[in-house]
Amino acid sequence: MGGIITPNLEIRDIIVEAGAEDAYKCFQCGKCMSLCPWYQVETVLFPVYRIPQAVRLGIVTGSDDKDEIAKEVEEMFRCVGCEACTQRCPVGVSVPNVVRAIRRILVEYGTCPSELKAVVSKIYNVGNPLGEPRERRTNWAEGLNIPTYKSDMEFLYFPCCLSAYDSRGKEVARATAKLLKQANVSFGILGAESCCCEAIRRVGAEKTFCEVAKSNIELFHSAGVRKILTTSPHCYSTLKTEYPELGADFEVVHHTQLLCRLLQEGKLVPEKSLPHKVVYHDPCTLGRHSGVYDEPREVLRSIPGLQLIEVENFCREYSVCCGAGGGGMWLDWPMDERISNVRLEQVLATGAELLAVACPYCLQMFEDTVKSMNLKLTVKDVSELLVESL
Amino acid sequence: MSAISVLAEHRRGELRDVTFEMLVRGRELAEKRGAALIAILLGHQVDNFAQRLSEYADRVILVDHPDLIHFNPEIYRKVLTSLTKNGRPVLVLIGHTAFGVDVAPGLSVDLNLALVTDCVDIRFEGDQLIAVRQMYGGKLNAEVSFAEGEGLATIRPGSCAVRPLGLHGEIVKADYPAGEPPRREFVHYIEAPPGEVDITQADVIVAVGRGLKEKANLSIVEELASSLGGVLACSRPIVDAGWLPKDRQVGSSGKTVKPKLYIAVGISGAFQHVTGMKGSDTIIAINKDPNAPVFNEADYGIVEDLFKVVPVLKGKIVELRSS
Repeated sequence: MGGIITPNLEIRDIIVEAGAEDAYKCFQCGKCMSLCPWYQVETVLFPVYRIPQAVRLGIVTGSDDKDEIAKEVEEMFRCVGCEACTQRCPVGVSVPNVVRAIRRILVEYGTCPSELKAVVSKIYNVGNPLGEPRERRTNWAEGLNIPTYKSDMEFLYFPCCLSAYDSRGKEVARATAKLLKQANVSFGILGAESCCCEAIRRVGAEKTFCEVAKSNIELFHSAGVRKILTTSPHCYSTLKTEYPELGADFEVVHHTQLLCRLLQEGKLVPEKSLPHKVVYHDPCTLGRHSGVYDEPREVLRSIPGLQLIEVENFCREYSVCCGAGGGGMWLDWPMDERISNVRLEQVLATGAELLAVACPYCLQMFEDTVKSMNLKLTVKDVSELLVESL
Repeated sequence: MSAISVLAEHRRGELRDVTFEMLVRGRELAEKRGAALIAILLGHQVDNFAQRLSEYADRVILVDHPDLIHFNPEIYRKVLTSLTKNGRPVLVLIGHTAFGVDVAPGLSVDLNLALVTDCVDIRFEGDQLIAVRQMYGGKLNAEVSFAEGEGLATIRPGSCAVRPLGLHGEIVKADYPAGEPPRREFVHYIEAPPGEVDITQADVIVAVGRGLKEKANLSIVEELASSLGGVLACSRPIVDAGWLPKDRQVGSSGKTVKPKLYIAVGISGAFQHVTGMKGSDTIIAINKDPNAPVFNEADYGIVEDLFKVVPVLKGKIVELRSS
């Protein structure tokens, strides 16, 4: 074809209609590239600035070859939705939103990585991406005597599916629950809820998102829920900013925010010293997406002996994604193509021996990476460190 | 007298296991129904097969012809149709194999008999012939009945245990029907590329995880796998380390397996791995950490260092197998 491109305006219109209006704003300056986490993975070329242009021309897949197209589609699932690009864009283009629109079309036509298809169907069928039975959702709370939520309680505690089912994740839910009990917070759990569906919305499974989210909203309304406490920033941001599109009106609080308040009110008093150098990793969904940067740091600063250090140039709004966002949690890139490797190299360069996180996805990704790269680094949730210091 | 027929399947000088599985199943049906059990063998110079089949059937019908050296669905249909001229069987069992699924649908049309495919069980309830087949990836069992009480069924391999039947059936030779030469002809067998193992097809899988520590240790686990006639698989860290290829990985980003026996060696059991193996019939976990989540999924667990357990286990299995 001699490099001649034939725009497909029909495809362009379909994608734009699915939510990619931002594509028209982009003038391809390329600033987004400099902050895209993939830019730091040397083995990967993921030119994020080209995506809006590709949409404008209606040529998301530019090849006629079946295998090439499959590769191009797979690349569309690299974006982790961290929004690092968005904050640098001079005209406010959200590439993750453009990508999400493309994925919606791909999912509608059944073209997405099989791991993601499996996650969507597990959520649809049993309410969690792990495919675990619903009746085991509250097993994490065994022996903690946590009551079922009643409308006169202050908080519904909504642990992420990982915190409810995964053996490592459960430890975080248990730590959080212990802190809440210690501080006499009035809270309960339900167990009939489903996944918040943040990840699968990013993946493009819009219909499943809407259906499951609506069932959650109905459940919460019928239980008389007003305030929801989450462990995962993904649940936090979705319940807070996206569920209202479907009629929700709950106050949503992330556990680091509540813990910070309980410390300020003197309801939790850390006494034991934890003499370690710690880096706090800002989860994209808590930091850049939700603007919560200080509360988790305040919690860590309250712990005696703990020395909080920052990854210079790559902290707060410039934090680098762990790789699990935008559905990345459920994908598996080859060993030398993982963003989490790059992020942990940055963390280790500070001399920290402890990495504090505030997201079940980050915890999972980083613990995996610590093991696969054989690193000397302990990864803990902020709530776990606080429990240790009481 | 009504009959239950089983189509013998053989390839490259060997009778396939599914043939004997179907004969054992057919025997139960024939007894219940008071019918004869017939093995149908098509081939060339296969008297030794006929002899073996006679121990599992009341009668072996043998059609011997050079056209039948290799499997050819077109010829099989023609021969099988001609055999039913002297009386239709109540039921014809055919293996649910690449071979069987190539013959059965056409035969069903030729004989005007109903066909139920991929049956995991089949039985008489009174006069009703009931077949059980799985749906939704094995989540549901559907019971299907044959409207006329007769038909064809393809039987999933491995769905029935083989035991000796101790019969002495007569071997009857039948003629090869004349007719048009077949339009399809056998060309050659395509060998599976060496080294590639499809772990999803294995009955026994021994999977290894991070507990292995070094690539050199793979051999001890591999020996355990081969002592059981199984294949070696792994969790993600082993692929990350480059010790085994990606096609051996079990889990959400690898393969989903459902073997009869799954032995997890030095695998902690992160949910990404468990999701790919929890459908196994029996799971045995070996891990030195008693809190490893893999024990939540295991039917049997051994809390001990894999380097102590695996060689002993292998030794015992070899001993049992040789005695």
